[in-house]
Amino acid sequence: MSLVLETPEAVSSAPKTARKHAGALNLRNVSKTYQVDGKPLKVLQNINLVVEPGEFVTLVGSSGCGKSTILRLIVGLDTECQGEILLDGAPITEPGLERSIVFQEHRLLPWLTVSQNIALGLDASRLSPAERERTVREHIELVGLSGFEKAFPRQLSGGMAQRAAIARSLVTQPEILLLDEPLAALDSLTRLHLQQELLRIWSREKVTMVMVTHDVEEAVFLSDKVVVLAPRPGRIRKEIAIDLPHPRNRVDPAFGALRQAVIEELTH
Amino acid sequence: MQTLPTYKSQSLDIPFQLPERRIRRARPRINGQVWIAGISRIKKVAGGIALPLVFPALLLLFWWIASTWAWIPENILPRPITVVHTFGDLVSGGDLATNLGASLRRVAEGSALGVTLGLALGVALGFSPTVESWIGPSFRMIAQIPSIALIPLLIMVLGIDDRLKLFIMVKACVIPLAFTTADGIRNIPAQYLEVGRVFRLSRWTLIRRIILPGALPSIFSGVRQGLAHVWVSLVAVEVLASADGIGYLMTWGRQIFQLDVVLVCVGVIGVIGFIFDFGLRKLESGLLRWRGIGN
Repeated sequence: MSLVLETPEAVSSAPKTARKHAGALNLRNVSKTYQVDGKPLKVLQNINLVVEPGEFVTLVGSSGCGKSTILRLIVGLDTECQGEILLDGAPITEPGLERSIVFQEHRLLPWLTVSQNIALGLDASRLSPAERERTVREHIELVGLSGFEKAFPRQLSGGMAQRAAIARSLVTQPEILLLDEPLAALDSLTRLHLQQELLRIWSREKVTMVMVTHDVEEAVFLSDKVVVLAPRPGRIRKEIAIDLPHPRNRVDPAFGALRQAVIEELTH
Repeated sequence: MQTLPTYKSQSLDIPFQLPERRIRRARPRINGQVWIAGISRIKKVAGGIALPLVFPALLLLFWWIASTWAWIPENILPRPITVVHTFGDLVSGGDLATNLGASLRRVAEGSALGVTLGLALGVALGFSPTVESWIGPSFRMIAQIPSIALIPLLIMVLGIDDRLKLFIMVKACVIPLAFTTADGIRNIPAQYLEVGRVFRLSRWTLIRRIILPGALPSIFSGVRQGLAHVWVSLVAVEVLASADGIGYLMTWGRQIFQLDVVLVCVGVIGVIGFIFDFGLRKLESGLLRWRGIGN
């Protein structure tokens, strides 16, 4: 397979089951404090962020700026915070199927095959067994894992496992997909390739994506908006719009300028 | 056993073939190489069977030398051949079958009850902090008392019939099984439980797809330990207080100073215990195929 980008236009001609709609996310004055040895430690301070439906937003920042905490709050695994987190206007109080997440570690269950792992996402859905099977198969195709339905996670490479994890998180047809450094543990070539795959999936599935990454180039390559966070306490330093058309060219001067702008904010 | 590197290729993350479908290369047809390959294969297979037998063979040799040269008087250490003859007599006379049958029936009862109770208690301890705080410490204390130490007391209460044996076996099985099961359930990685929350799994799916399979390796090692304890403790009770069973046969042999009978019993006890463990290990590697061991 070559590194040539499948353009979003080229693949959008094969529409899948249409999503109801992509989610609009709104964080208002979100702050969070942990208690460490009885002392309060502020991890997030007045985070204000609007993510439009269908937008691809990345959060970048050094360790300790609360990037992952933000995702955990949005997905509902963590609910203790001040401020408001609204999805399509409704406050988030617990995990829900309209939100899904891909973790840095793939978190596939080692005792389930790829199909079974992906089907796990459909547990709470009301699909018939035949529809379930079809949905699982479609998503295996979507992430390019056909032929590996019966493989166990230990038989997959890191990149393939992460593809399976992406399929599992999309099978619920979420409005918003959260990605917590999903490519950080992969080697650089696999990583480049999966970046393209993410773009393809994003344009085809029309899902809102919020991704956390350390990698500035990845952020500029993928997103509509890069949110630069400052650490201790985690707060938003700057939002930088990336208005380059896809497919993006990493050696394009405009691309370089935006990447430089993000780096300057990070090292500010 | 196949070992697969998690990292498949330098190049892009393209699906690769699964090992099952690996293309088999034709081996070069050069006679010498085929021979060498053949011999090394025989060595490999034979090594797997032969190596574990080296130590018993040496022990047997030592026994044979010791008894032949009468380092130890023959009425204390009978010759290997005498033991083999005694084994034959005990088999043809039906003594071994009768007593072993009695023991195995007890083991079946003790294991069935012990495994059931052990799993139930383990699941309760693992899932419910309330159960753990009420009875966990008491069970941990009871676990410190060897089953055999309870026998003198229990003979007074339960007599020397099957109730005593059942009680001892169940105690011996329940304790390790309940604790390993509870630990297995409690030690499911939090990451997997979070996956369950994100996908809003029903309680039943959570148990069936995440908790149970995650705890299964611990449960299995608990069952193996539990059943080993059942067998060992049963033999101990039979030696101390019984009117039949393999342990009784051994005591009887000692009382009439026929140590060849004792040695036959020792051998049979060891072999039966080994077979239990071997069978359970096979079952385990079959059920836990996802771990990729033993296949």
